[in-house]
Formats: sequence, structure tokens, C-alpha cells
Amino acid sequence: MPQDADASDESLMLAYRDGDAGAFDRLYERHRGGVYRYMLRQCRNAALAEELFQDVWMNLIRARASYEVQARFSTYLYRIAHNRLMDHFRRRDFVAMSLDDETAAPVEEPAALPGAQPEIDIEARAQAAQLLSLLGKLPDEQREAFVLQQEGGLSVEEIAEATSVSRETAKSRLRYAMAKLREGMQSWR
Amino acid sequence: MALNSGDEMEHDESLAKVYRAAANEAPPARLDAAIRAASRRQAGAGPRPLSGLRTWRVPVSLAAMLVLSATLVLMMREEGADPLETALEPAPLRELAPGRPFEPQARSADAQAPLPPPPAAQSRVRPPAADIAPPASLAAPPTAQKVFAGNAEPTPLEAPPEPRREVAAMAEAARPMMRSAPAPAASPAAAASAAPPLWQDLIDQPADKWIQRILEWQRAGRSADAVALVREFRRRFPEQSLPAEIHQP
Repeated sequence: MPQDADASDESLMLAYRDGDAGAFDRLYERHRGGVYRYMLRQCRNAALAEELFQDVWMNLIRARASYEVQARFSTYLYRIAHNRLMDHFRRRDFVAMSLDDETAAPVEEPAALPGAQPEIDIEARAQAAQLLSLLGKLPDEQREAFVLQQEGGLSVEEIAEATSVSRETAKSRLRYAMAKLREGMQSWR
Repeated sequence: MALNSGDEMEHDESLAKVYRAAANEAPPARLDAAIRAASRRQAGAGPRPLSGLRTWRVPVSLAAMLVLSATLVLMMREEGADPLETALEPAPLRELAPGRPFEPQARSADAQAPLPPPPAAQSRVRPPAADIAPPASLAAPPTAQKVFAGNAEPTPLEAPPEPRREVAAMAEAARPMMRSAPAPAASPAAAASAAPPLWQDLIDQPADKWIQRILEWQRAGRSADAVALVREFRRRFPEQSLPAEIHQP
């Protein structure tokens, strides 16, 4: 059954589960950028991000038969993304997700703004680049919390759910991230 | 800027605006095409044959749960009534303790006990001082009291010992699952659901460890635990499929 333009993510996924391929296209269009950027920020390698991004969607497609609405679709989708990322780190014996936010290894800076819109003026571009640079220096868990909030629109509770941590832990990570980003962006305010 | 507000500490519109301006990377078109093609292939496999069953699964489960609960309550009532009836029969009036106050709540425990005779009839068979004393066994029916006490208020939980930070975080992570687990209210199952989850030690483990544990429990005959673990597995790893040998609820 065709879905209207305002159909919720959950109803689109249910429609896709029941065989509506168009519903998937709509879902994919809504979330492709967010999931891709989540992967890009967390693994900081475009080729790897593409591979993991594709895996996330293939996993979603494979799991469609068992889909049931238990949470917001974004939470479900980013949980799949988080699980895929964790699998990747585990397989490579990558201790990127330290339990201690403050002792995480430093990370390399993210790539500069690829394909930035031309109408953004120089100052805005510099500001954006500064923010991405600060984001790249955050511990992985804090960066993840921030990116899930910005890209997935997840609440603190949903971040906790997607990353399998307590609400307090998710909240703490988000607050640390915000505080550090604010501090780093102080000169732009 | 007021940083003391909890909401502002977790959300900053000016940062969000700068981030939105910065975050415009997108997946390459070839990936889009590959993923969309895969989704169509899967959707082309036809509608799922179980979709009708899925529609009815919840109401049928609820109905089954209600029938089972009602049966269980009736069985427990019957079991609880027997000692009361047998206690009433052999208790001759002359054995009743004189002057002992009547305990009306003991009567309410057994709806099947015969109603007391009218006061006029009582005065014909009982001495005045003894007509209000029930048999000792009626005042404290052990089985019935246990059953009703269990229904009225769940067993209070013991306070857990102070956990380490990591363990506490894992336990915290398990709480939403315990809240989401369906359990009839005010039943022993509800009290059990507040206990530490069965999967406490698996919380930080990959999917294959969960599958291994489910299989172990199935082989050991812990069917109910295995089913609970399967449900939690599905919630935590929605993208993973379970091996065919695992019995799925």
C-alpha cells in the first residue's frame, strides 16, 4: 500500500516489511545522510565508513521480516549502526570504546568540509571546520552521543537505548561533549 | 549563557546550527543504488506469509495469558480452601477458647465457608461467652493467607550491593529492558522481573555469545529462561538472525 509523504518511519518500515519497496526508498532517503555521517565521524575513514554504512542497511533489509515497532525507528536504526561499529572494533581488536571517557585515545582530525555549500561564507565555513575539528578530538563515546543527537535526533534516553548504556551514562557523555564543544567554540560566540 | 539548566547542558541550538552547516557529507551514488537494489530484491520476495499471524499474535497471547491467570487463581483458591473446610469440621464448640475476640478477616479469606447462623440459632447451641471465638486454624489459614498475601503485595527487593562503576553501568543498561518486559501486575512474575536480569553477564558481549548461551539453556532444559534471552537478543541485535536450532517464541 503506498504511503503518504508524512508517513512515519515506523509505518514505512512496517510497509517495507510487508513488501512495499517504495517505503524503503523513502526511509532510506530520510536517513542515508545521518547514518553515513555517523559512521564517518566514528571511524574517520571514508572507505571504512562506506563499508559499514552499506552493512547497516543490508542488515536492516535482512532483518525486515522480524521488524516490530518497539521503539522509534531512528533508535532501531542507530542501534543497528552502533552494533555494526562495535563488531568492527571487536574484530580488529580495536579498543576504541574505552570505558573511561577521559582516557580515550586522541583521534585524528576529521576531513575538511567536502562539498560545502557555496553560499556559506568564509567565516561560517571556518566555524564549521572548527566544530568538526573539535568533534574529532572528543572521546569516541562523547562524539557518538553528540552525533546521535544531531544526526538521528535521538533524545538522551534513545541514545542510551541505541548504545546499550544507562540514561545517566548517556547524559553524562552528551554533557561532556557539549561542554567541550562550547568551550572550543567560545571565540566564535 | 546559562549552563546550569539541564536541558541546555544537553542541547545547544547554536552548536546544532553550526553542525548542520558543517555536516553535509553523503554516501556515494553507487552505494545508494546498490542498497536500493538490494531492498527491492528482498521486497520482491513477496509479502510475508506470517503477517496475518503477526496481526493476531498479541491479542491471542493476551487472551491465553488471561485464561492461564484465571485458571491459576481458581486452582490456588481451591487449594487454599481445603484446609479451612477441614479445620471447621472437627472443631467442636466446646473446644473454643472463651472470651477470644472474633477475627472477621479470617472469614473473608474463605468465600466458600458457610455463613454464620442467625443470632437466635447461635444462642441455642453456644454458651454466651464462646459464641464469638473461631477455631484457631480458621484465624490463621496458612495456605490461603500465603496466597492472598502474595497477590496483595510483591516481595520487597533486597538492596543490591554497591557495584563498581562498569558493573553499575551495565546494570543500568539492563533496566529499560526489564521495564519493557511484559509481566502481569502484582504477580510473582512481576517481582521476579525486578531481579537482576538473566543476561547480566552478557550485556557487553557480542551476538555470538548470546546465541551460545541460548543454546546452552535450551539444552539444559531452561526453556523459559531461553525464551526470555531470545526476546532480549532480538531487542539488542535486531539485525541478527537466530540459528534454526533455536526454538523461537
